[in-house]
Amino acid sequence: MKTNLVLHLLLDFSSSMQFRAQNQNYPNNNSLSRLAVVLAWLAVEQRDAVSLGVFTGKLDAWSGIGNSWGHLDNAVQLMDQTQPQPKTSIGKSLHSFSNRIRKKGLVIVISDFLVEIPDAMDGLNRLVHAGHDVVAMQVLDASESTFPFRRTTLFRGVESKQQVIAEPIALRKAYLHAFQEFQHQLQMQCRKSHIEFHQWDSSQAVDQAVASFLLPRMFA
Amino acid sequence: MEYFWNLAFCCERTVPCWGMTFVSPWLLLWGVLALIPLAIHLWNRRHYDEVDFPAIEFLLAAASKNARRIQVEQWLLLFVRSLIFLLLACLLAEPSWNTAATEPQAIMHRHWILVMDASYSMGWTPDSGITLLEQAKQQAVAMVEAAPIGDPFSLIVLGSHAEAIVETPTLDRDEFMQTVQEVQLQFGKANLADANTLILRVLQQSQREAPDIKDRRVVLFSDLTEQTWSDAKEPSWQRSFQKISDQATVTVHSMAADVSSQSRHANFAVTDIRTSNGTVFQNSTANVVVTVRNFGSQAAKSTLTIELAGNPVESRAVELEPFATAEIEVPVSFSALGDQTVVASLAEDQLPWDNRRWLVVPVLGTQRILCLEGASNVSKNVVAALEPNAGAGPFRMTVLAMAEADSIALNDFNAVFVLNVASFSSAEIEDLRRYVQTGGAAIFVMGDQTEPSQWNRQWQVSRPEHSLIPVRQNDIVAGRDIRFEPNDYAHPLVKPFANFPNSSLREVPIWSYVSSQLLADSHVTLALSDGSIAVAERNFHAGRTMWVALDMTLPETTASESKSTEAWSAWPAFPCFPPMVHQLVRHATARQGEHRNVLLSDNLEGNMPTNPEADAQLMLKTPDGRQRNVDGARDGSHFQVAMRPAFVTSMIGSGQLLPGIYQVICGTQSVDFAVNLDTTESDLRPVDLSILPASMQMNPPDNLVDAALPSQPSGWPFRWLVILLIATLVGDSWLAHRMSRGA
Repeated sequence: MKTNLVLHLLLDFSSSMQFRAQNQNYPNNNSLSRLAVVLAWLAVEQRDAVSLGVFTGKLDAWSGIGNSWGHLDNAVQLMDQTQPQPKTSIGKSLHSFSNRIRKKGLVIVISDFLVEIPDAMDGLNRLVHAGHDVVAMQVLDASESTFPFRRTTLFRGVESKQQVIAEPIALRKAYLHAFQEFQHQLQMQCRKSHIEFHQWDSSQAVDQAVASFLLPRMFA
Repeated sequence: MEYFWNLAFCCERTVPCWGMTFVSPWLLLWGVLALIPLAIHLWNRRHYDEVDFPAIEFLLAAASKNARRIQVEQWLLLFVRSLIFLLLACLLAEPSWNTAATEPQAIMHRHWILVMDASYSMGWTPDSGITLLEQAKQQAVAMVEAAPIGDPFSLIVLGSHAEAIVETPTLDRDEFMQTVQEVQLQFGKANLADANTLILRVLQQSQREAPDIKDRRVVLFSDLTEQTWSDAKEPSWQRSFQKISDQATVTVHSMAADVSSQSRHANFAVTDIRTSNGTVFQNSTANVVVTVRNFGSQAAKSTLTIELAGNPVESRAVELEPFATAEIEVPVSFSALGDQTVVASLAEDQLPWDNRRWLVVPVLGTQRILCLEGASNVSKNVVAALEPNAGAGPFRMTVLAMAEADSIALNDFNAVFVLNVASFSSAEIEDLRRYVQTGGAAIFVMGDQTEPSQWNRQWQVSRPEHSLIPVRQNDIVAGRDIRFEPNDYAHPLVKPFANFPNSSLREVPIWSYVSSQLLADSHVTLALSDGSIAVAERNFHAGRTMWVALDMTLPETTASESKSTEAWSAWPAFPCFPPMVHQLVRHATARQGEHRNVLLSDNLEGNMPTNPEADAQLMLKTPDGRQRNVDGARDGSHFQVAMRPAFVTSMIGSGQLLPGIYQVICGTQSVDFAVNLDTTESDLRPVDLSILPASMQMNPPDNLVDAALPSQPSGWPFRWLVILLIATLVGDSWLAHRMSRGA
């Protein structure tokens, strides 16, 4: 079924997305890549156009718009060739993407969004103002949302050199409070800007993320 | 010494511990375990997991915001956990408290010296059914329990000998209370002089080895009977008590307070039992004389029962006025040979221990008599008097010349006549002395061969305590015409003659005799009409000697001798001669049964029937049936077993020496002893308190503990530390829970 949809997939390829939880077998970006490829495959399957961009501090690579299986192959190779970099700003990357594409469509931004909320919202709002339908898909590790550590632990930053030795038991409640407050603010801002927000635990299977994304749309 | 080290340690640590003292201060070393939580904390800081964490910004924000709170909580938790170990160490060290400790110089322990009167009057049972001794023990235990932890205790038990059961002060109050509970009645009169000596010894030891203790308390539990405490009037006792009161506070816990409120009118006691006849022969009847006394304050009745070898012989009702004594004579027929036991017992009353008395009667078939002659044939009349028909009658006579005395064992004879001997060799003197010393009976009869000056020198009459002979001989007096003078026939030797006026005792003509002077501790048994001594006696150790101033030969016998041409008397020709010789033997041997009936703590001394084997071990069988080897002295058939408390404790296993029948066994032979109470303590009248020293504090029972104890209950530091420990454990759990929630 052809719908004339143009699907733009924007993937955060920063170092933080490579964070591995202690008990996980796969890195985030693999999950991320699989999620992006599945969504792109579904679009190409129904003859819709798809484009795929990867970004760290700016838009590092973009596949262009296409609806062929060859285009999908190119997009996958683009992801393979891109090296993770420390993230600086989501806003700049999204601005760069918005300036680059003219054809309006559905933009799915896949990131952890662990940046300053104004920076993230600046980029997302730019896409909204450009006439796109914007979906923010936040990918998190379970340890970030549950903070399950108990023993004295040295926590090292992934994208920064910061580190801290802490008693997780003593800090857990304060951390979760700060993290959930951030999540709440992010979701509120997205709702205000009419941005659809989804959250996906990277330890879950990809099909669950896709289903949670597609099912509401099937009955809309 | 460990005790004194502990004690010194306690005292030194009182000030740093804010007045708290510890029974086992070395256990405070467990307090170093308080470093464990700190060590774990530091170890955790150096050993941690490492993780990469992208959301570190949130973690840093949370850490910086809560850093102070977390640090405070961590240190608090650390402190609480260390405090748990410190409190545990304090509890292990058994803390006590002294309210005076707020002044650093005031904290000191007390040394409690408990003196328990265990004389048998403390066995009196009031209407409550608990003896005074048991009540005293209960009160002593209560006092120990209430005393501050860390106070040392000593225990002296007061009986016929005072004994320090716990001489080295102990801090182990459980063991001490157990020892107090095990104190048993001592069946003798309390020896106050002994007690003072022992208390002084314990005090001096305490002062020497624990000079830090400034407060020493002597607490005496006694029923304060007059018979015992009248010794307090003695200047020597008062001097020694003054030394005690200079060093310690003396408190008397009077058990008499429990007694005085109740009537003590029913205390009958058997105070003596004996045979009136001296030696008892088989198939003869002897009178057993039992003395019964009413120690109560009112006239009362009781029933006296006499048993022979376990079989009742006679039972009589006894009614006595207050403090009256009755002698009850009961004829008892002895049909069996050997040691026979007679028991006199009264109906039970509130002091049961003095209601029974035992008597051992050695029943003889025959008595062996030895005559040692200084001149030939001088024993003829004696032999004729004692054994008129050879092999018949109760006596078996053996006659030897004095020179042959060393060929025979004197101990095989019940009595030895020494007749008309001029002088003695040193060996003969030694043999005779040992014979009498070990219970033998010697009868010395004078005659024309006698040389008074030799006798005086050889028998050492100048030292009366060593002399076997009861008199100093002066000279042979001749040419008189005098008679015997039995006075009122009061002496047992002549008492039987009183009922026989035709016995001619007063009519015997006497012309010659040996004049003499009586030595100390000797007695005139029969006198002459001119006031001189005819017969004298002397108790020498376990035996008895008798001295007869006359010759026992008839005129025609002496007339043939060249040296003596005149007769001394016509005594052997008179009817009174044979019974008098019998009486001499009976009286001289009477003591041979006496040493079989002794008082508690007296030595058991006597002779085995025959000479036992040299390697035969002495054994003692006690009234409760136990039998043990004893280290008694033995010399041939003679033995001696010392009944000292230490010996009793080692042999019997407890300090209690029971009255009753004791049997000394050597090989296949045995000798029975009746060991009875000294009934002095049966008189329960309390002492007049005014004769007691003023420094002796009298406490009614209920006030003693309170008066002696510090005002602060001793157990409270322990309880408070336990409460604090529980609170700390709860606090630790709460803090840990709070930190786990991260609040």
